[in-house]
Amino acid sequence: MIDKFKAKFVEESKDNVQDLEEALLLLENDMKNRDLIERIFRAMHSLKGGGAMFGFNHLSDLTHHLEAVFDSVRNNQIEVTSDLITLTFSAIDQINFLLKKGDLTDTDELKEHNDFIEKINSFSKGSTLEEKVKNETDQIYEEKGKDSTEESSTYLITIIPEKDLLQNGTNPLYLLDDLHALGDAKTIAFTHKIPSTEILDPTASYCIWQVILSTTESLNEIKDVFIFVEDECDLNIEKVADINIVNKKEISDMVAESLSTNTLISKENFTTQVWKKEDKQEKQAKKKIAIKDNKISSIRVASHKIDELVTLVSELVTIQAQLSLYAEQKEDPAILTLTEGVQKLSRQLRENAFDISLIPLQTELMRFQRLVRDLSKEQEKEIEFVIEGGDLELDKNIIEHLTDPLLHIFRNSIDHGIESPKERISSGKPPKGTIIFKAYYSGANVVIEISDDGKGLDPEFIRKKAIEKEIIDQNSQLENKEVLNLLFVSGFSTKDEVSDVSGRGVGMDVVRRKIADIRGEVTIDSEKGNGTVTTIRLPMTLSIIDGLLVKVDKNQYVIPITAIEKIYALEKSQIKESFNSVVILDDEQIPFIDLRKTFNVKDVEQNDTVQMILIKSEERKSGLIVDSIIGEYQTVVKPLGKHIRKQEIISGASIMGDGSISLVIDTSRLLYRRKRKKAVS
Amino acid sequence: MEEQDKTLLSFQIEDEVFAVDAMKVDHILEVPSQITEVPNTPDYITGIINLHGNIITVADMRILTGQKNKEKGADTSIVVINPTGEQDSKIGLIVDMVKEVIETESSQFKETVLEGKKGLINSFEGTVVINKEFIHVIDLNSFNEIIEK
Amino acid sequence: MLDEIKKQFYTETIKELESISRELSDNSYSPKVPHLSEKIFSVSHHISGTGPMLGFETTSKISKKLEKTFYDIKGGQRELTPQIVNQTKRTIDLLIESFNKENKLD
Repeated sequence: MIDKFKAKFVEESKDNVQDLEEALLLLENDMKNRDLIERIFRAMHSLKGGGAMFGFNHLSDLTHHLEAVFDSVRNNQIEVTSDLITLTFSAIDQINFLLKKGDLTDTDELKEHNDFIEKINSFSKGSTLEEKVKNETDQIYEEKGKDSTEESSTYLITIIPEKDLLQNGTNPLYLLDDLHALGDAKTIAFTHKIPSTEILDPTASYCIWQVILSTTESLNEIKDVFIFVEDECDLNIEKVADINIVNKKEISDMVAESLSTNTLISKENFTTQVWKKEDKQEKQAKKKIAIKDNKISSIRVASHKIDELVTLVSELVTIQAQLSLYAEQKEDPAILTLTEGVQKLSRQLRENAFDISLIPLQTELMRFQRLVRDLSKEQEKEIEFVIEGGDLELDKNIIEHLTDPLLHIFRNSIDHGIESPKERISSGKPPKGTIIFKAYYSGANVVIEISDDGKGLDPEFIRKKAIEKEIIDQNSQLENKEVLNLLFVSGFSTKDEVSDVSGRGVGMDVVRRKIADIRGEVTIDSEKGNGTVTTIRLPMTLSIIDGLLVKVDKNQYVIPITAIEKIYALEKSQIKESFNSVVILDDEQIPFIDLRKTFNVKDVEQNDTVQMILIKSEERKSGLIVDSIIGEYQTVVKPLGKHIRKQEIISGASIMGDGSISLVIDTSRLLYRRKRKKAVS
Repeated sequence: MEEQDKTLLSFQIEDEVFAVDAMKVDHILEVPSQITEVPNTPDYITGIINLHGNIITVADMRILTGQKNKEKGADTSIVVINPTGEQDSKIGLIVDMVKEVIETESSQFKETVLEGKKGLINSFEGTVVINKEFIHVIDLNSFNEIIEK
Repeated sequence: MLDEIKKQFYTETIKELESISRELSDNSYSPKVPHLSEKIFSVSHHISGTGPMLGFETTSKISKKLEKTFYDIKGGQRELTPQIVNQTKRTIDLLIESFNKENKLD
């Protein structure tokens, strides 16, 4: 398995090797040059570390021994001779070979490799390594360290770094180095989590490492290596054997197998299969080590990166809108053409970025399927749960906020909507009730309908209740639908009062609020005896809205385009002369809200002409009086801090291209507030 | 260790010195040229600012400590604190001047002389005396309490 | 005002860190250990406390780890093993590196 990250290591190593070769050539003519010796030592060191990190164990092994030799040279223990230089040149050839091939599996090649390492070791006098390698010629993955045959235990260490490990400056290479220093070690690098290089964040860490370590040190000593990175990686250390087994043939097979299948080695691997299936695995390993073309069909990306992408694209769209405005003013045909091009591209980019942040509803529905099943069993009801449009995709942020309200609605349907089989039969229905979840696109919205064929709601009961609670006037004439929507008024329903008789409406005010948080609307429709339909209308995305930018006093505000019906220019006198905040336009009475009043602007000096924006929400209409209209913008909505969240008309803020801030008006809350105010007065 | 050592950031309002837990301070900023006012918010909320693409609420410590509003001076700064570690609880405090970072110990905290109340800030962790100067250490939870009102 | 605080903090702290790093590089660390532990704890505590608001965010993150470990060592809940000394050396160097980097950023 070769992927791009590994390829990158090979790429970098080639540079290292080149540097090594160059330094070696120079050293041949100047055998005492300390700078050159240092340079060679460094190059060996990086090759060793990188090799271990990316699973080039033989390479790491070879360079490790060479490094040891040059370390002795560095410390004046041995001298540079032409023999050593010749040896190092052939080592470079071997390095290049290993870089191309990866770890060796062919027995002849392995033998050659080991013989070569022996040769290297014959140069490093006084090194403990020498004797050891001689004694154990069959050991391939030799590492420096303590006596590895006696009293050693073998541990399996799994290191899964969190993504920010590298951001904090930690170099995992050092950690692996330290582990190797504890005894005999073999490092396996799993790189399958690495995304393709184009989107690779070089400061994030994507690798998973496993180290098989035989050491005489205690478990705590191993743990101490990780003392300062504990929080940034998932660490697991398990004892797998009471002897040193690192250099056994079975282990290399196990490593090859796990690399080719991209599965981590587990403790069980050591106890079961590995020791038995020797021959078979060997063959498999050989086959799989062959370089394969890897086509990546999908990748995993941290969700905050997607959020970032969407934000950036959104900001791009904002600036692009300003550019368009500028181009129009300049009337320069060249700029206009360019701007059109940019506009087209950024629109495509925007759609693309949004598409990425969408996930199918289905993922969320699984749990409701379970809920329906469990609750109906518990209440001895028979319910069929039907899903239509589950493959529909929604912004992941919206889906997250949808869970609670949906849960509420489903619970209402199951607890209070669907009757028991007995009741159903006696009212002429099939014993099995049905709850249908249906999702579909409608313009720029997504509509979700949850319907049941239960006993429905009783408008007369709700009306009575509302009068009792002084939510509506005794004499008010309301259509059934309006009555049903009283359920959403906060404080209308409490469980014990409503659920027994009317069967519904529990906590619907909460549902409404939560849906409003994601800028959605919810309505309810029901026919007594025949069932209930709850409809949720949602925007496709949260992060961007198409808005109309307006000015009121010093501030700029954004009004969502979806809420706007029409825009009128009004004379100031028309407002002054109006009665009870209602103007008559095209023979229609239109109530209006003067935003200067709503926002308590002290300075009431206004232009002679003002703009009235007719907005609509949940079948309520009203005009909004603003000073002037700046233009149409696509803007990114950011949340306000909790300190001013009580301010309910402003749902968020938007950072404009020039860094200034506009406030986003929540039109449905604005209209709602007006309605309530009226009800009170 | 929290019981022993405490790092504080002190700042001046009129002629009094206050301090907050330095561990909870995120940034110290100059007052930007534009603070966007948010309508229908209390007096002490000056408005919101754009801090690296995030919206941060800014409150005026002068009003919160019962002083009169004053034109900002050359030393006026915004101390952005983050009491709970969540992005949306961040708040910027406008102060007359940021003074210094003080290393102290909780044991040096004395019962605050402000009778536990100063303007709208109703909770203090105590008062430290350094170089004959009284430094009132504000309990950051009081900012959460102000909001609840 | 703020720049001054930052400058002062940086110069003082880096001096301390560099001296610790030097002492750790001495192979004969063992007799000095108790004294060094105290010093490492107090400097890392200082950085974790003051660093974040002066813009040394990564540095503070790293120093918090040192602070925690040496708090335990100071209190006798953890033993200062050679491996920990080894890792500490590395982390102190990392701290200096990130300190320098973040000081240049502004």
